[in-house]
Amino acid sequence: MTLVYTEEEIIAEVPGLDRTLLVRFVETRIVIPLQRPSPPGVVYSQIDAARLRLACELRESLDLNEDALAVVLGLVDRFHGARGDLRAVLEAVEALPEPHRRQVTDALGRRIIPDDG
Amino acid sequence: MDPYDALGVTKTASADELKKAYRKLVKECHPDLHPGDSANEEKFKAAAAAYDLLKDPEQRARFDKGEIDAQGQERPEAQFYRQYAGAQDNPYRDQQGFDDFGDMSGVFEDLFRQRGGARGTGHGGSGFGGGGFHADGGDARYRLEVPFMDAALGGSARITLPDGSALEVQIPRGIADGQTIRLRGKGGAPIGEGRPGDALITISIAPHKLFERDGDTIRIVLPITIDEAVLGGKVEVPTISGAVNLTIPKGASSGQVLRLRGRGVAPRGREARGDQLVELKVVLPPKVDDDLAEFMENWRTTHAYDPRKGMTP
Repeated sequence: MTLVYTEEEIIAEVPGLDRTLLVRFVETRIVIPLQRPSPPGVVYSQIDAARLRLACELRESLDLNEDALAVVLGLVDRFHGARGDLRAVLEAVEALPEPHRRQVTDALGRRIIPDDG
Repeated sequence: MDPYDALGVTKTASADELKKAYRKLVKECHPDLHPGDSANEEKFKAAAAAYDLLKDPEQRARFDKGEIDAQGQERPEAQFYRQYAGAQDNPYRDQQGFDDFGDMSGVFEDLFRQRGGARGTGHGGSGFGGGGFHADGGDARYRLEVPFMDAALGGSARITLPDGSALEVQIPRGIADGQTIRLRGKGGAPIGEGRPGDALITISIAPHKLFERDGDTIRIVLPITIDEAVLGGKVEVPTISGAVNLTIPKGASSGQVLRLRGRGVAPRGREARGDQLVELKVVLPPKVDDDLAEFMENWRTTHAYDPRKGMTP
């Protein structure tokens, strides 16, 4: 079962987060609370806690406002998403029978230029 | 490690210098911004712990006087975003588009674009034309928990919009955890003659007290009595569409799994339902009475058996 936080709990959990900031983060969709039908209300999950922690950290240490934060976190999501997809592709390649795997890795080798090459 | 060294500052550094040093390390080493770089990660963890200690003037003074040490500040892994960020079920990650992957062959294109809930083709974006600026409205994202049964059988729910109004959402039968429902035209307002954006609602399925779901398969644990286990018999089992009779075979054991075909979930867009798997669990009566104890005493003297045979590691 995944752990969920109420609004009060998430504010207590994330250093530097207060209610005003949380409201602004929700408005700018930096974090999207999970709406629950019964009892009606919103909750936050562990991923939201980690995301809010990162948002508060970047906001404080880099003096980013909410709009800049939303952009940065959007890029972080895309970047991690792309890494996740790349991992899925590599795992799929890894699982191929040897001759096919070699074919794919050779083809990839021709397209990817190494940094120090 | 000395916290001043971790931040690369001297003991006399001002609060401002501390912050600057920390800021530099966030930019260069934060593991959420630089995943897969373990050297930088260690550097950041040490710096974050050091900054947490030194940013508070009182704590810093106590540390300088040797009253406290720099221990016990390191942060558990679960608090970094990157641990969740790359996961396929991260509700934030499907915001990425793959419209620029259009030159890839169809199979990959479908694979990557379906996640974003691909936008309709032939329209979109912004532009000048017809005398004025036009742009489509942005998509508005929501996350909604739906009851287990509504996700399995279909239903309806409401989400609350930022302005406080409510929007009715039809939950299609068989929707899976993490799937997104697109409500066309329910998102942000357009500029000029653009189209309004869509509302994208990512579904999270609430747990059920009896059923568990794994794709289109439903699982349930069914308690049975010892006499049902020994003699077999017909018992009633709850399914998502009402109770059905199940035949318990003679000599059933705890952990044995029986399959009820076609009693699971029908996935989106298909008629055929998955199966329900019933795991049996033999439950003794609340009190073992004299009759039962006496019977067992006699029985075991002549019918001993060893279910743990061969269990040597």
